[in-house]
Amino acid sequence: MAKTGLAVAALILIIMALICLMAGSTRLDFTRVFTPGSVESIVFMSVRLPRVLAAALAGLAFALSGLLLQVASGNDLASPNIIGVNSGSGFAVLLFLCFLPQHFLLLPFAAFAGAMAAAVLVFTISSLSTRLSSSSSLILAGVAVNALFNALISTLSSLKPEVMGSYSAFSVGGFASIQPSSLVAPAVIILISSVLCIAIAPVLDVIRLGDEIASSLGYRPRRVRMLLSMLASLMAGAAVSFAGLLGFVGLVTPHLANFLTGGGGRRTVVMCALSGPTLVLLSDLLARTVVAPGELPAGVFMAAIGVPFLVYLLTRRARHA
Amino acid sequence: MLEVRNLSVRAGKTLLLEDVSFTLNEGRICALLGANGSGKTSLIRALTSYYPHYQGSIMFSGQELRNSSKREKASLHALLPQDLPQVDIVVSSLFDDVEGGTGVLDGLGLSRLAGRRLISLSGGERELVFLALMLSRKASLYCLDEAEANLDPRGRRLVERSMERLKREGHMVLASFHDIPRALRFADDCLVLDHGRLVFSGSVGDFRESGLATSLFGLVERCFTSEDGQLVKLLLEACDEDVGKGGEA
Repeated sequence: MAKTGLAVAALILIIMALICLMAGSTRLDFTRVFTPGSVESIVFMSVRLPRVLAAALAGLAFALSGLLLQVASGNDLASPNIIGVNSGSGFAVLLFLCFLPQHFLLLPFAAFAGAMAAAVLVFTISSLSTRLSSSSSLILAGVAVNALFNALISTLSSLKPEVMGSYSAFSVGGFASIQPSSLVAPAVIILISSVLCIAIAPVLDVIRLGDEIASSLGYRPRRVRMLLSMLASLMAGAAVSFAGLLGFVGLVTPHLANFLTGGGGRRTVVMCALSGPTLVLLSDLLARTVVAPGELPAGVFMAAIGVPFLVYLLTRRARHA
Repeated sequence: MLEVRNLSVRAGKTLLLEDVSFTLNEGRICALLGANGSGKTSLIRALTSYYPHYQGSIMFSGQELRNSSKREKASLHALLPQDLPQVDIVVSSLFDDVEGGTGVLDGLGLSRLAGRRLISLSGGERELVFLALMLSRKASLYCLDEAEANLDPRGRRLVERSMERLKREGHMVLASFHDIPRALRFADDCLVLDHGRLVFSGSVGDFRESGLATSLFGLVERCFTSEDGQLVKLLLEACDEDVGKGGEA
């Protein structure tokens, strides 16, 4: 039953990717896609394929990052936004746009550095707390770091209002101007981290049961939570570097995977890894077709899909509570 | 055998346990007693590796707990914690990596819960699911932290039967209780904590004689004659006058 569910999810992802490759403002004759020098080949290889790969990689990274953070924090509402990874990344991007706009190709590395800096700050603050549980301290530290970076973003945008145009597209998230070269390093990070996530699925199950049970099974839960959060930040930072601050996918996808699989085990991690890319591809497809030939940020549709589903999950949980 | 010597545990500046020493033997149930905040949960946590930085020693058959590997720790102790996780997963998923799967649920007559989501269960049902999860593990010491707090009489009996089975199988059982008369009815030994210090360690009979039931918990022993002429001793909640008499009641 579980394997059937995963096979169906994989099939839906493949179909969605194919639709995204075919759909767009330029109608492609797919018989000519692999003809060197043809318009179809150029559009496919330099626009459609990088965009679909970017959307799929971002979906994979944010979804697994969200899952890791929800397990690590013991909080179902945790996501890269909550622990300040996204705002740290956003601040680094804004800083970069203010002071080094001529080195635009280095922007992804600034986003990644900001994400990691925020993560390190969150873990340092949360490790100072000995009275709170590790999950509570991580969330509280995340909220504090989030507030700090949002305040810095506001300050910088007030002092340098001219850069807000570039920043606003980044802050919503999307794939309109993906450069294939900007995908290579993040893709390597995301794919290796994803394999690692699937490999450590049994550890995630133990950590979900709380610090006391995890300790009794021989784990050092605080240390494991920190490592999971670092891995989550690494993945989210890698994705933010080319996709911007795409929200909701990291929050919604773990719940969707949990809902579809019953929760726990490797099947939930794999379902998360399949559902995240599907959701982001769907958002991006809507973003570039609904107002074609114009385009909206994919983040707008991610929110449109994510919010109703999240409300449904919360009301469902409230009925159980 | 579990030998604890001069165990002290701190959380920040707070001293949770101070200079605690005792021994637990295989095939016996030990009741862990104490008022709220006396350190019962801290002691159970210390024995189940929750506090990696403790002072003193915790020796399982001569093996120091802090020097044990992850795999060894998992075979030394199993825990039913007081605060149970609220995880949104199907109950049977908890038993995915357990030898025999959900068979242990069936053995406790809880197979009806296997397909339910954990968050949809009542507090008592969740307690029994985690009791089954604890029993599914092979360990030397089984710790139950106020396992009966949320349970109805049938659930309490299930916990008692489980502890008695573990005892028969030669394991060590340490269980904390607030219902002291109930604990003393089926425990062999007891440990009593007060403000993080161990004030009693010994058999249940010695505890009854010690007068601590009255001085610490406000209980008095009363003798009754049953219908068939047998003398029955019961621990009852004392009134203020009884407490004033100390251990003489």
